[in-house]
Amino acid sequence: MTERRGLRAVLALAVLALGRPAGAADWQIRPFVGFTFGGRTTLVNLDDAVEKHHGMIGVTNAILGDVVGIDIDLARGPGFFQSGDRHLVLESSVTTLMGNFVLAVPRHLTEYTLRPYVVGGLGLMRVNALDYFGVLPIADSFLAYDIGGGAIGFVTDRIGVCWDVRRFRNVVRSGQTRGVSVDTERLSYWRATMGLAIRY
Amino acid sequence: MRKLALASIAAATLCLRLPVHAQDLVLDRFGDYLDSLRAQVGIPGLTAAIVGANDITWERPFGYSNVERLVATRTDTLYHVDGLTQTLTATLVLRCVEQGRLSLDGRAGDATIRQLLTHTTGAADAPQFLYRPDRLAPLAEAVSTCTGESFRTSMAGLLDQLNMIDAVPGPDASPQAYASKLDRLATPYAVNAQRRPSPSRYAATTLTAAAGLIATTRDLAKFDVELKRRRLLRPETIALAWSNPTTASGQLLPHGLGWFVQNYNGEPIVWQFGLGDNASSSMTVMLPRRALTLILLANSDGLVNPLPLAAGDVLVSPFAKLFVGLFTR
Repeated sequence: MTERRGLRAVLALAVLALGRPAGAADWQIRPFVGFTFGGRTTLVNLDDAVEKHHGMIGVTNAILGDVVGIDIDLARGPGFFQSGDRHLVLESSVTTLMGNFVLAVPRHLTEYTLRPYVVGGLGLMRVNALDYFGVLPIADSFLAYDIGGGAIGFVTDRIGVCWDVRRFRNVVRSGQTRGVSVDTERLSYWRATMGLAIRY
Repeated sequence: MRKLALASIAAATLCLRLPVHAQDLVLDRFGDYLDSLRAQVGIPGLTAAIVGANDITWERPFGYSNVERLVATRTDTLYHVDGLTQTLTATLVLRCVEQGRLSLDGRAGDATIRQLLTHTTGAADAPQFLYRPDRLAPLAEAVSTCTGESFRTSMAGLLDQLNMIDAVPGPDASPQAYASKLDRLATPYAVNAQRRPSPSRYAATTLTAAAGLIATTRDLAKFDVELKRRRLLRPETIALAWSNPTTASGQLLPHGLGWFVQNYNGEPIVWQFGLGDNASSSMTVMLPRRALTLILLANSDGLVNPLPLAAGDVLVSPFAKLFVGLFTR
């Protein structure tokens, strides 16, 4: 009962925050580059690559109210399952498309400073890996969630910089093993990015 | 196109004996795959062999049989083979059946021999699959009754007949006779979530119908070759053993008489696995049509745990999927 009330309160807040006149909401597009770290997986990881750093590129489209907002985050990390000199994986990538709720420090308090926020949401994680023999290919889309935070600072009215760290993890379906994992299929990693923040 | 070419090389390499370079290319890569999977699941030591119609075609040891003393695994490293023991037990039982000394429908304990070998329960016309190797215990007595010797002596006789020179019929077999061999026994390991191994104890303490055999991949290769040559069992017995039992409604059950049996794109696969919790694991995957078998023996349970192999689908294992995928196209 308490949880339901809490959820209603959050939703009401979001509606209020986002339902204000368009001019009051902060519409941002944030192209970014970054890298992954702390990766873990039970998917076949032939090059022992998932735990290593991999470059990521992407873009976040955010609408921020005074406190609450939403964002849609699209990112791609090519070569996610490739590393080292074994070259057992020929092509690979991880792509995420996430829809998130954002809670930020009120805008009026951060007019001339960095504006911190936390973020969390659900979406899709697409994983591809083609191995040398092509006998353990991975081409799956997982339901996934992410949680993290960051800070945005504007140097002009329209242009700013954004730093962001998020953890991504697939939603585990108990017992899901299809010969391309060594246990129930799991993939998680951290992503750290830096990008431009452009108001529009 | 490239995949097809590689697969063709792989199959032809083992079946037709192509030039050494092509053979090396495919099998070296196959070994790299195994080593990579071994590292991912945290197996300290693994010995692998591919067996053709007449002999071992390829073999390779990986990692350490003793991590603390940095003793590398060898092709003649001994392992507990756990559940693979039941394939030799099944052979002993089926020979007795061929000789008319046992009947598949005769009782052993509270089940029929057929039910025990196929891991089924229930009425004969409506069997239900239930993989519980501990149920096989009465088969040891059935073998003993048939041969007039103890189960261990019967098993030792089969090992001698097959010239499985390193195999030991149970960890508690005569220490004088087997002490020199057991020097090569891999140390068992429990492996934690961070893949760190710590020495453990083997699960099997004696020879039973379902566990306890100690062997090398080379020993098991000899058993495999003799099965393929149909010297141990008659062709019709093997055909029966390597076929799926069916329920009244026609549903195929996954375990034949001593072996799991399944199909992959029309290709029969005959396989078995062994598991000693936190200590050892093993697997044989045979492609009877191609007379090819993969034998894997490991000194941790990572080859099998935590995959649901007992449900009857070997292709949930990336080790098996690699072998089957590579050599059946």
